[in-house]
Amino acid sequence: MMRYAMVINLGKCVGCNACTAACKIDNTTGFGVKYGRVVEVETGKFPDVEKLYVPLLCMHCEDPECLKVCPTKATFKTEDGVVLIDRDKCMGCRYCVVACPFMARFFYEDSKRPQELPRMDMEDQRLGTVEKCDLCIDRVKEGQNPVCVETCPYQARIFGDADDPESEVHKLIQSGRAKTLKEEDGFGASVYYIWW
Amino acid sequence: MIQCLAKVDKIKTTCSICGHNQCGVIVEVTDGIVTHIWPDRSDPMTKGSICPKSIASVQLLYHPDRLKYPMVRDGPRGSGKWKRVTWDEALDLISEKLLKIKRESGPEAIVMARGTNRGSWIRLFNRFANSFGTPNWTESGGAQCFTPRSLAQQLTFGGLALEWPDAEFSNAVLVWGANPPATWPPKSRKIIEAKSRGAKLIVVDPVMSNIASKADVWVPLRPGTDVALAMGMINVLITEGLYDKEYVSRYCVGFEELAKRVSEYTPKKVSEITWVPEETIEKAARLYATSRPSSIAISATFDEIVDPIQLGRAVSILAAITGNVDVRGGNIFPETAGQVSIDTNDFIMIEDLPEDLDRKRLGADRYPLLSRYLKINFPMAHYPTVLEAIIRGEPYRVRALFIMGGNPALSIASSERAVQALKEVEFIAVADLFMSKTAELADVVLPVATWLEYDGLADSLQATYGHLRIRQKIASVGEAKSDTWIMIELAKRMGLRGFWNSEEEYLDYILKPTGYTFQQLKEKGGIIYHEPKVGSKLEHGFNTPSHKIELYSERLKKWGYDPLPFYREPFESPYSTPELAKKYPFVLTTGRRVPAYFHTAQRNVPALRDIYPEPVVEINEDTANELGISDGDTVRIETAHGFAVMKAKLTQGIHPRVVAAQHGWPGLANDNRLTDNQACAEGIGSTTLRGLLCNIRREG
Amino acid sequence: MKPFKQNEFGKRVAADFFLSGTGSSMYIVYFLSALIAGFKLNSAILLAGPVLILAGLVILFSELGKPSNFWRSVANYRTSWMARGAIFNLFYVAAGFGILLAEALRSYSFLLWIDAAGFVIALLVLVYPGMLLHAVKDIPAWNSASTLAVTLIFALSGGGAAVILASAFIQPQALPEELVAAMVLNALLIISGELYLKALRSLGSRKEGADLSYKEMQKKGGVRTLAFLDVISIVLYMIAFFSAGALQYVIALAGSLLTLYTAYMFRVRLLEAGYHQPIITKKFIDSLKNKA
Repeated sequence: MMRYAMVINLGKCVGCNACTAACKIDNTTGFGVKYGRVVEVETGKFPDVEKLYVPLLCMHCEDPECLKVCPTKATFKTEDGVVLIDRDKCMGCRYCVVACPFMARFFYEDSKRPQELPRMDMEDQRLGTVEKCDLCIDRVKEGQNPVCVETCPYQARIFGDADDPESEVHKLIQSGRAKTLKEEDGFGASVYYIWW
Repeated sequence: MIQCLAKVDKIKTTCSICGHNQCGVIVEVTDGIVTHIWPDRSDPMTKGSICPKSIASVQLLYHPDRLKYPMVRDGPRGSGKWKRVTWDEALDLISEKLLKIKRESGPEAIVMARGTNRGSWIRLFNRFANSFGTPNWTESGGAQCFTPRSLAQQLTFGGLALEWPDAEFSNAVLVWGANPPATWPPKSRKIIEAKSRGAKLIVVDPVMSNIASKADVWVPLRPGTDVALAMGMINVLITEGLYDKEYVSRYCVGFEELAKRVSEYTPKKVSEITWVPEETIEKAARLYATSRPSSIAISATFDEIVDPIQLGRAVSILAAITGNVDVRGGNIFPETAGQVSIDTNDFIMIEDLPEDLDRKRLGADRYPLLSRYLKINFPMAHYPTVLEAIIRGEPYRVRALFIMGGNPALSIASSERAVQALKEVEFIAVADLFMSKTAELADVVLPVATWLEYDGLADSLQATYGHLRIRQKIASVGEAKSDTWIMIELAKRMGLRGFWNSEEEYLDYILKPTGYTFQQLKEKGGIIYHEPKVGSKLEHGFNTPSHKIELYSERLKKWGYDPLPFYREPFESPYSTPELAKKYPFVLTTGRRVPAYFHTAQRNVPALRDIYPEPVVEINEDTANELGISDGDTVRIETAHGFAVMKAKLTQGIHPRVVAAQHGWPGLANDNRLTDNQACAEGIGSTTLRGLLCNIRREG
Repeated sequence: MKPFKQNEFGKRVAADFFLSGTGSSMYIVYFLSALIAGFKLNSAILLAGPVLILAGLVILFSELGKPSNFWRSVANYRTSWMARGAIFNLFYVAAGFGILLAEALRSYSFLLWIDAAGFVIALLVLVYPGMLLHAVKDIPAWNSASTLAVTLIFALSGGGAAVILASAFIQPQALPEELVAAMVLNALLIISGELYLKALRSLGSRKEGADLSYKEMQKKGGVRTLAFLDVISIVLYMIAFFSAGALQYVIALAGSLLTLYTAYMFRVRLLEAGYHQPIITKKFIDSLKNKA
């Protein structure tokens, strides 16, 4: 069985957002839509401050909340673990956008765009439906890495088959060092994080 | 190298979106359209580093607002009325006008200004100005970017070692006034790689930046007090005997004088000045000195404070006394791969300029370290003085501005004065990608090519670490031409000597000593490998009068300046101007960068604007709470020179009395509305961009 | 990182919830009070329910990004409460048509069956918004049992108010009973609102999202303000109860309009206060760095 997973090294991530830009370029997403993005997390008090940069994307959960609430079966999960949206079935109710624990889904709206920015070609095709990261499934099927993984200048992102004992992601997950977000809630994210 | 895989071409080239880093990239072309830009992990220098700006160049290339053909003003200046003309018409017009003004008022009446470097035409521009005969070339960065620290390094080491941290082999890296993840991706990659094999990181920055978040020791100093910190660190090393005594005695001169000067910079005194606890100063110094080899990475902050020469000198000295210069894992000297070096007096033809013109250069009397030829610098006109020469005609009237890749309407201090000058000068020609705020005020506008649209070499100084790589023309938009082509064509029309017939001829000229032509090099794979000869200065002597590292600078003394570094308060600070500080109680640092923008550019690139949509000013969270400012509020920053409006970002990663504003936004968010171009650094004329006083409050 | 709130369900979804909640509970309140007080069911009032639901469906339609795919939700009722809600609403509208048909055919027994069926469907419609919100596991303020209770009771009070509105014009003899029912429901509403806030506050100590939801819901214009307005409604209802003629109508109407307003605003506030749990917590970072 194949189970795609990603491991992101938060020690190496410096928050440069090359991945965010590459994802936007490759998917030609509209303004305000970032399938993958990087957030800053700060703790402590000056001058004892700790800061992290955390890349976020669709977690391709094993038990997806979005799938449970979709009324039209537009959201579905493939055998190898990728959660996808069938644009032809989506009615744009955004229940899934509301339910997603990771802010990974987007319903594009025209009003957010600054005046001087041009519209992207793909935006019209997606109007009225919900969109999100598809783990670059077209690339992955041909044995390539997702765009964010391929782009990272620090090679902070690793991708592979978690069920393959030889893969790096499998080893990192088995080591116990790799954690998922909202682990206690049991969503079963396929994106893991490690420290250095 | 072009590989054909189905209908997708993957072309290796070097990015020049920022000009400084020249990251190796692979450009994906699908059916003739550039669709994606990937990092090239096989590049010997950059090894896969890349930034969002490079990646989003796809959108830049095809941006609907790009200038596509030359235009001439067809109404009052700034009215937005333009008439399309041919390249011949535009270049003839510029050539005739400039030659006419040269005849009537002398070559010095023409100022040639560029922005910061966007590739290797940085020094071609100097050559162009010197060949034309005007002493007045300048750049928006200029006295506030690279030039002061370059002079300081030349005076100390005889070379620019602080520009090349050999971080891959370092046990510790000291990042000072720089944020490599945002602005130097290749250096950043080296630093993070060093960290992952256990190297230590020390970061000097008032704000917890991207790189500071990785630091083992973060030194959040009061903006503008860097020299005091450096002297304090040297003090600790000398007091505790942690400097390299053998290295100092073999390779340095002036140690006793240095030790004497530094003795007054005790950790206690320095702590009071810099607002950094003594323990932190000591910890930083010890960690840097005892982790040998250690390297230092610096950037534009060094040039934007009250006394940039002193800071460049002090930190050079720090590297020298710890034995970290010209050693593996320390700071090493830039080298070419055998090609003609563009960073020489010879190449820029400075000695063709007669001495009386050198003395006439704007700024020469007050800022000789910037504007007089000293043999170890590339003298330039002082921009604020240029503005006054336009507006007031003193010391003589400047009648023309030829601006390439620069946006002085936004990017230089006291930008309102710059705009006034642009409106009043007799003739302006601008070469740019877009109708920038500066281009709007031009008489002639020339459409320029992006890095994807011309053949070139990645031979700018900070970008090679020895290896030489090429850039390839991959796409073409409208009638846009490269800056190099523009200069060559103008040189032809003006009959300038020392120029070529074509871009290709120029590139072949640069490559000649390597034995390759540009085409041959391209066919061979586009790279000449060259490992720098680390240790050659230790062996054969440094490029200074004493052939050693000059901790004590006789040359500075001869020119009438202090031969050793010393700290002075910023022009406005809680201590130098306590009355002013009552009205403006916060210490302001401007010029903060983010990874998606380069100076004033790219705000109109959709992918990048989505990542950093608004101009941001960082304020301490507790301070903000006291002032009733919440995260995301619109706030007004006020200095004695003007005001700016930005969005507030609350953070604990900044001192409660410090405020940090981003750089390069247009309109009311322009940080140069807050700065002053009249109070300039001694000798070198830098405007202070970091270390001002401000007040801040919620707006609306 | 802070809890983040949902931004997709806004005033229009609140209006849809309000209309379907009021329409369905109106049916239930009227049905039950007729049963208890013994007066005859008036079809015109019974029809008002499905009409409101239809209005709600129209608003829902306008909210959808791609309404042409709406039929898929009806075809896939097993999927989620959004789909079930769509179906129940449609059935309810069908019941409305059934009433019209029964009236046209003058078939009293058919009408009785339709009324009974309508009652059952109304219960389903009443319950679905609360269930829909409850299904969002990651919004603690919605995912609690008290959410189900409080949405139900707000809906019922809205229904009580709507019945008064209808009765005042169509079946004024029923007004006194309806006023009593409405007063009881409003009293229940005030109590349940307070209990909900209490539950939210204690949840807030365990779940950060609930804490922000609590702060949002009890600030100015929040649940307490709405509860206060409902107290005024009760007073108005009471005054109306003891009045007569045109004055009674006017005061009753004032009370009911106020209650309807609070019923709508409660939905708005509840949706605005939909805070998720923070994505990244200190606990997560510590466990990552092995400091736990």
